[in-house]
Amino acid sequence: MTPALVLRNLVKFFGAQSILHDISLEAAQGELIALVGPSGCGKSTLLRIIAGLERADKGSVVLDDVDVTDLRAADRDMAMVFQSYALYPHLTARQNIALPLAMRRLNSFERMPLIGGLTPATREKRAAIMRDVERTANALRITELLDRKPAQMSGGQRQRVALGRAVVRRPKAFLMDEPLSNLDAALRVHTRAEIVALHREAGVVTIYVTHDQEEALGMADRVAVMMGGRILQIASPEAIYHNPDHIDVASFIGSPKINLLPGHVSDGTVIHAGRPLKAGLGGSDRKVTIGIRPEHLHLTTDVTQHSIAVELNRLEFLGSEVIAHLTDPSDGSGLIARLQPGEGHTFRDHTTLQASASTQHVLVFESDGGRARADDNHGRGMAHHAA
Amino acid sequence: MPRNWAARTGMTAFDRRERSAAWMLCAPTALLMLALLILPTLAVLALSFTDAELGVREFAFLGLDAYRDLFTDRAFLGAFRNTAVYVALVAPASVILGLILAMMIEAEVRGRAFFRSVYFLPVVSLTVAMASVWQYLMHPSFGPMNLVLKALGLPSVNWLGSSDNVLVALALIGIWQAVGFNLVLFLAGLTAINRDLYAAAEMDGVRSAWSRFWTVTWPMLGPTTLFVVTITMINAVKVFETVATLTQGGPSKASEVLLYTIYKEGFVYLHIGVASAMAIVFVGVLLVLLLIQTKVLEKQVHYS
Amino acid sequence: MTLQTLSFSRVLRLGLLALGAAIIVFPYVFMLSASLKPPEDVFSASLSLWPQHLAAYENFTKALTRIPMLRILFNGALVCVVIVVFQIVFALPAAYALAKLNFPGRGLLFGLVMLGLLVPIHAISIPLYAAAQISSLLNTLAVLIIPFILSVFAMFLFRQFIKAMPDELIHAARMDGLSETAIVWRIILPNAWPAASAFAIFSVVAHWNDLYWPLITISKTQLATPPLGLLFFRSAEVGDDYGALMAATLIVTLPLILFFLFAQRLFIEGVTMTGLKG
Repeated sequence: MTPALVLRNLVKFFGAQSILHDISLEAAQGELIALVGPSGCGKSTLLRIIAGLERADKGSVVLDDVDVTDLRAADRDMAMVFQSYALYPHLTARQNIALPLAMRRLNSFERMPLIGGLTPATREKRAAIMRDVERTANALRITELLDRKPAQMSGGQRQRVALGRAVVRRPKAFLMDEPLSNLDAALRVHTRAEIVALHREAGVVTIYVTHDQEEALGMADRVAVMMGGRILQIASPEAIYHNPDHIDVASFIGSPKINLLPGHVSDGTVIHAGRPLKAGLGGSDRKVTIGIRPEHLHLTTDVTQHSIAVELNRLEFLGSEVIAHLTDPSDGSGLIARLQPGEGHTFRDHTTLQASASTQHVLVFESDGGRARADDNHGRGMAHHAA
Repeated sequence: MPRNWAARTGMTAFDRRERSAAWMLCAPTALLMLALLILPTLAVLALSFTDAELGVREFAFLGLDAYRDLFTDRAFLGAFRNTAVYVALVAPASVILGLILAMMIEAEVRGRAFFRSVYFLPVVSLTVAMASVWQYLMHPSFGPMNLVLKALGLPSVNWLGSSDNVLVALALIGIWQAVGFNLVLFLAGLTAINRDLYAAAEMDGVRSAWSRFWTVTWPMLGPTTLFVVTITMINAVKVFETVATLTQGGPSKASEVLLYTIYKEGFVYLHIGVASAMAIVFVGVLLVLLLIQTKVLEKQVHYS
Repeated sequence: MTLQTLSFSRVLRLGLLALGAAIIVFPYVFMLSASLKPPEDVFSASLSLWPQHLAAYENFTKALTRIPMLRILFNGALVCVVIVVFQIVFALPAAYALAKLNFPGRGLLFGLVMLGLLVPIHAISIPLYAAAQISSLLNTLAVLIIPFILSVFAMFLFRQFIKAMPDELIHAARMDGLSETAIVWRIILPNAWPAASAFAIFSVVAHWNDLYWPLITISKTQLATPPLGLLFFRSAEVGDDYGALMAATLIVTLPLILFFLFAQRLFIEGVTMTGLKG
């Protein structure tokens, strides 16, 4: 089946500075792709290029097999939800949601406030528009808000009206630019699930931009991690999390941040502070960086084959888990381990413990940031990067 | 506990301290207000009901007749009419021009500051001085304006010397001076509009510049427009310097405006009773303008 | 943002803006040109900007000597500066009280401020003039200054501005032991600088320009302010010596224009701020 949205080799400059370096991506029909990365990585610019609000300097955008690169945004039949919601303050929720339908179905004469509604044909069109608006409002449960203006609504309500305005049109693609950033944390978790439900129901490809990696992992079918104007990896959330292609992906995704330790490869074995952690790596002897996620770091008092010595600074009891703040005595750097609520009772502050991780959780990165994979390690699930 | 104590005494020491500090801070201003605002206003009000003259001891109390006489006085009604015509010429033109120019300047990325400053020059130029310059420009025989008209093959106009044209000539000067101010205000209003709204409009299918204006720009400029219109009208009603410098109300009272008439009645003819009544009417006009615009229009214009 | 291309609509737009700018500037150009011309050139009804005979020296000398021009400029500057200083000194404490303190009479005071905004000086000029006459203050610089010391506009503007300042700032000052008066001058004034400078600009422009009040209270040329001085010059000039008149207008207009060009940002921000608060 042909992909719904294809981006080919998009490049964008700002003066002499390069903002997007050769971005390519294929999204399938009905897929939700999260575009995640730190501020300034170019994700919002990319979204605006897909929308048609900005033009790339090179490359093309193809929607449902139609090259839309030269079309303006209004002609592309995509809908966008903005971080600031961008609702028209002088219009009611009803009018806000109706506007895109009015612009498309009525000509400028029919749109005029009083005279436009004179002919029966126009009246029927307007009634049809209102029916669509109400249907959408019902789905989003904002029917009581329809006659209010944005200033009379809370942030969460405005957000739903903004969603309604995007959804009512049944566009070919949804573009969302950090729609949840302005909501408080509790509301965000709730609304996340609703957006995914809306997306599933519409069955349309969605590109969702966010700087929150948790949001990206939780909502997306595939996650594209962007940094410095490039897509470092695009894969399923599990693959991104457990099988990152690049050290920057591993660092950005996951909270608390992944533990990074210096090490070197000797005869195919990865060594840190004299202790072997993983075998089976090919290639010459070289320096590498070792990544182990906090939840994969096991703490024991006994030395094992692959364990390293760490010093326990303190334990933080967080209710559902325990965080252990550790120091690596070999270089003084800080490490973090996540323990289950029951674990750690016997540990005492300022004592030396042993930390270990199972082989497939020891991630090794070359000095250029790329992932070094052992011959027998295929990671979890698919580790493919999309074209 | 402090709270209980306050409940019993009705006021905490803190409140008392705040109150006396506030009174102390306001005292000088309050005294000034009394001397420079309240008493004079009451005096004008009182005088308006009399036929007092400066330098003459006796005066009669006319009561409401003073106002009745005023509204039947042809000269005063003429001044009223002239002022109204002037405002009708200056206000719409300078507001609309200010808006159009502001939109054009806003679309320009580089030259913005330059154009803004150029258009603002008349606002910071001495009115009396620039009026004199315009007098030279509008001179019937050697003024550049008529020379340009002649060069274009058009008949020359007697700008300031003809009672038919004088208000138009004064209005031209007024517009010239007001446009820059309105422009700066509109520019501020335009740049304050959330850019995302234009993006949202584009996504919604709003294509033409005209539609963009009606869907986003005009509604969002509401408060600014209200302010600009109010200020422009009030300043237009207060026109004085150009008349005093160039026409002194002539030719044949064609440019007698309210403030000039008040000046003449009160300080040239010394009829301070009549002048006071005129002054009260003048304030009344300003009040009505302000009320119409703030009460009636403000509701439609402020969305937050 | 990428560089703007020279599209047709942009050329049109720039063209119109340039045309408008030319119309705005054309009085200044002619003012300068005429100030250099002798009467014959002025009357020769030609559009040429450069004079046949340079009469700059004569025109400017007349402008400076027919009336004590420099003295008049000084009067104007002095009066404006003194007025502004007093206006701020009196308005700021009251504005602070209105904005941040609770006291009986607050509503009344604010109501009077709003009322005062309605009543221009022209309306109450008669009693003020009478008072000045009785106290023999006519024809002094004091009479030009005193009626304007009270500025309800300043009170209004400062109040709006101070209201928007965070309360914590004042609480912290109180905890540090500052009296309310000290708070006004040590905390509020430095933080209200944008509003104060915006207002100062408004006040200076308005009073520099004011003709009405000086016209009725001053008759001696040495005490005139620039607008009045120019009026005296016009009546002192015999015939249509436009050259000299233009020289005089140039001298009188230059100070504020130069000030504006130097402090453009201040002016524009000042206007913008009053617009946003109004």
